[in-house]
Amino acid sequence: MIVKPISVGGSLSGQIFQAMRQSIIDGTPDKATELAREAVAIGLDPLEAVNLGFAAGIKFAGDQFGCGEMFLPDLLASAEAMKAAIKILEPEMLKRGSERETLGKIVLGTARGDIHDIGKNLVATILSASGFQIFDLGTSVTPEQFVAKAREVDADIVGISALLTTTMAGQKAVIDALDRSGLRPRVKAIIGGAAVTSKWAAEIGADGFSRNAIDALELARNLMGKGPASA
Amino acid sequence: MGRILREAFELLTNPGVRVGSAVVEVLSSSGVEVHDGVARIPEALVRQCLESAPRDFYLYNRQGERVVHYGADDVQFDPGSCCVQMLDPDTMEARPSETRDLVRLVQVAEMLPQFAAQSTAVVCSDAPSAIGDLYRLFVVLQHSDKPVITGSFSAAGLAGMIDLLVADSGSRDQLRRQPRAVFDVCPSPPLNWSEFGSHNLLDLARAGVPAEIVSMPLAGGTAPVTLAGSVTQHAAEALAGITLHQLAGPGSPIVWGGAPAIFDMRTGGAPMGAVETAMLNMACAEVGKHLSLPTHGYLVATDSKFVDAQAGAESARSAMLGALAGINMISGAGMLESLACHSVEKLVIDAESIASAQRLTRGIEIRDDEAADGTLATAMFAQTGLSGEFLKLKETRALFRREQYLPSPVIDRSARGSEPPSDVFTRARARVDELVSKYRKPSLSENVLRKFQAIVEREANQAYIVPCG
Repeated sequence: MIVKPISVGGSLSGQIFQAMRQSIIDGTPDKATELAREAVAIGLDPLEAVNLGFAAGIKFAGDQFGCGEMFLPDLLASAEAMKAAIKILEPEMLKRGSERETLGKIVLGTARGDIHDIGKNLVATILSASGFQIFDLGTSVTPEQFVAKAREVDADIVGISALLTTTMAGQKAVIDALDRSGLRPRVKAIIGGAAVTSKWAAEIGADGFSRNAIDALELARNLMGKGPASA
Repeated sequence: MGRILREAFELLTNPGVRVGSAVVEVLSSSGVEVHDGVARIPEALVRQCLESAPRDFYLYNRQGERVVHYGADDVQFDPGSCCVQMLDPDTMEARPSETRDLVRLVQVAEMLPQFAAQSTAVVCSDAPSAIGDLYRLFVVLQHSDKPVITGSFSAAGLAGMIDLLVADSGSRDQLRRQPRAVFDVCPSPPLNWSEFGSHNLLDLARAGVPAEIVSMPLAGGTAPVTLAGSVTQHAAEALAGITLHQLAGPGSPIVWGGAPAIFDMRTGGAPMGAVETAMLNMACAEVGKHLSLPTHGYLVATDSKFVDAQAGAESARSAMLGALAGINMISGAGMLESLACHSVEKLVIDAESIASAQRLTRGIEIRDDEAADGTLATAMFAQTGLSGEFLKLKETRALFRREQYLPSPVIDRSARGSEPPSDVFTRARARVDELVSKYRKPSLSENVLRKFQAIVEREANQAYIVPCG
């Protein structure tokens, strides 16, 4: 994989930011951890380390995935590296009172009766690495469980995944339950899965659907009024 | 195999082979007399010539690297040649091919690793026809570093084309040591090495420039209707060609090649997409392999006039079969209408079929040393347990590019999105545009370019044509 680093000039912090970005693009959690520790040691603002360094890497990886240059294992490795860096930097941000802005709270799960969770897990990983707070309910989640969790954490978005055409009806059941609970339209409902189409999304009144984890990130950002990601 | 060769040798003495006057002297010096243009070539002489023919050889790119191996079971592909028509992607009609078409085909083939070699794919109707063969090579050499599968339309054309290659290589010796091109030479079925074909064989043998016999029996038309009978005729024609060639230049490289096909009993055409045509190519190559010779075949083409499902099915099927047969060089990609028309859009689609065929022949590899402690699966399960998180494993990331062929966007595997889905021809057009935009022309020295131009002008003048520009 040949991915050119983004050039940011020759200053020391510039070099570190560049190395941080590259550690994410390369998908090397060990390197990302090491750089995050280094940032803490030299007193670099952890928020800047995330925004100017690591997050720019995940944005680049997402773009590369979008245009077919990077693949799922690469993207996942990038997300894992991002998580590793955040794990080191988060306590430091708390200490400084400069908590990373959460893009939003998202409750995720697969529809009742559906145990296929590769897609849902990818979405969770990418969204989490990109700054969303994820509450993953796992597989075969009932509409009641979705509603209860959304209320408990004051979610912004509920994401329901379904691989099978037979379990896609479960997506509608969750949206109906969210409607009945009064949480919608404040809480947005998004859906995904191999057989899901824009037509189905419109038919069941979803607020959006996406074909893959990177599209899901854009969708979630748009629903939160954040617009497209910028590096 | 024994019966095929036994009968092929028999055919060489009875009825014998029609040969051109150019080879009468070479044959008579080996004790074979030509009566009424027919030579009866004894098996012993053929066997002796088979001994001197090289078992394998390489073609080199402009950088001097070995990039095509004619030999063993190595399989390589080049675009088909030589058409006079081009499918216009805007009008979907076939029109006479021009220089711009050849350039575009070469640019795209240059960018695709599926094509180990270029071909002089189309005749340029905007160039004087008297130097049509030379002009194609002139265009290809300017736009490509890859080896070239080519051929001449006349004896004079061959000399000029060899001069172009010599100018590119630096010297005749260098061209002999590191050949850049192979020349197709065709007998006329049945059992006829025409004046032109005989002449070409001799000239190529003496120049030490690789020759590729393209024998094309049409089963039921110009050859026995049985596939086995046509394979036998092919063998006889190829054995005769190798004999003439090796007598003139012992040790000079030569390929057991062909474009055998069945004869279509409705249209009288040569259906390149027929499964029997693929079977003939496979069988002919098998005979060549039995004789330890480098092989060639004509596949990955179609009889359809459009880049449609028939084109895809026929081309992909024969790409797979040719690769499984281990044919060293498979020509034909990009071609429509039974070799009458070329399409650069088809070429990029065929490249995907070729990549799949190449992946198929690589087989399922056991990665004892590099993956998961010498186990097939258990060591990876030791890491994932029952979580199913294989996507996260370092083995997955390290190996997926080798385990899977990752197709270009020509192949649609995406989920249905909000935009309307596209068909393969639309995606192929976009892919062609993308490849052409990324293509960079090789940098040839002024000196070589001047030599090229001088040769083309000289040949044009000899053909009583005033070159334009």
